[in-house]
Amino acid sequence: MDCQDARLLLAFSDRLSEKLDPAEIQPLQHHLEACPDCALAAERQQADRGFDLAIGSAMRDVPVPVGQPAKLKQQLFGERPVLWKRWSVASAAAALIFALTASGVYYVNRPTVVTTNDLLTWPQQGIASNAEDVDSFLEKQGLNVRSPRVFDYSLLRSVEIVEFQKRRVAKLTFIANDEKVSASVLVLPHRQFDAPNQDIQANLSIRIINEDGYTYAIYYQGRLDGLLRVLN
Amino acid sequence: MSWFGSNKTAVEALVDGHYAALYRYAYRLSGATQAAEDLTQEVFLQAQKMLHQLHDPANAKSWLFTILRNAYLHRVRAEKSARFVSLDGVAEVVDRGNAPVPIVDSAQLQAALNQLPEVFRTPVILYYFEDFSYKDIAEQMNVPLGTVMSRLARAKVVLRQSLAEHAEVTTSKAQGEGF
Ligand SMILES: [Zn+2]
Repeated sequence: MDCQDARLLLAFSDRLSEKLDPAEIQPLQHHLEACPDCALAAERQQADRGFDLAIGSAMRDVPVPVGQPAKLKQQLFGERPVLWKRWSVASAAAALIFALTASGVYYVNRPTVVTTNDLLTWPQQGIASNAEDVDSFLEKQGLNVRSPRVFDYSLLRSVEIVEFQKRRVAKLTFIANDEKVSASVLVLPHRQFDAPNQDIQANLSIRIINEDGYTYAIYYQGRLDGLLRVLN
Repeated sequence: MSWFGSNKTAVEALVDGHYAALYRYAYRLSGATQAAEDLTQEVFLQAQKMLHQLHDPANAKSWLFTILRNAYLHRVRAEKSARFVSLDGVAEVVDRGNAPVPIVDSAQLQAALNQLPEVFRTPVILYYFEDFSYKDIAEQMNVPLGTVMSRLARAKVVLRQSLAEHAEVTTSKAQGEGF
């Protein structure tokens, strides 16, 4: 073994993450016994170990902000475009009249049937411009839920609390300006509901999304993409 | 994406497993908490888009660290105002006699790191994080192993000097402030 190899091995032997091949250890020992220069280097390296430990622990002493990973995940998945853009929502039904959930019937371009729910919920229409506002509105109504982040909340038409399976749940209705696209979303917390996770093809298509502890059952008509957020 | 079921699960696992280490690295590279947060966030946004490039989850950490360094370099290229010490004349070994090991605190160390040019700062940070081998560092920086070792040796000399100077200044200040 020559000095260059010996120095290289010495450097490696100093690292926790490096492992010297057992076959290399003995020749290195022999070289150090025979070569005063390398022996001195080895000694110096040993002395440097204290310095390395001091620097190493200071280097890793960086407080990581609490809550950042959770916030980041929300950002990564709450605003994800990919999942949603893949949807090919081809609803042949161009009818402008459609039934929404079991909770009520909604008519467009016809004498409008006004339910008591419509009257009750009217004051909040147009107030909420984002999902967070809706969540805090619902929270005031005693419903602690997370609305789906993927919709364009400027198209939110109404927020209601309806009864579903004998429980109070939130129902959000989105309608695009031309009214050819609409969707009602039931927000079903996993802590309360064990819902199926498959889309349902019926007269009114139902898209099921499971995310962040919720099943979002989306009853829609038209191209659902038209109701989703445009991501930059 | 096959190794983790779904992209979402995979990215979540990456965040859970590597956020802290990446944040620390970003902080040591940039020297600022806001920049560290931004950089770390950028890494995961990029990772989410490029997940198909990560074939073996065992390489995830190195992969993410490489993305982070590139993101950092991309940023600093825009701001060329930073001034660094020159390491041109620095030997790889200095005789320190019996110089005591300085007591190093995190902020002091950062001040010393900030003076190192990036090509020296990066290997020294990665080296002291302990989980990277010289080969990992060389791969992340895309330079030969020998270059890494030589830069590392010189950077350590400069770090030691600058920390020792700081210690001297602190000591003499403390003495001056007495009686
Ligand atoms: Zn020798």
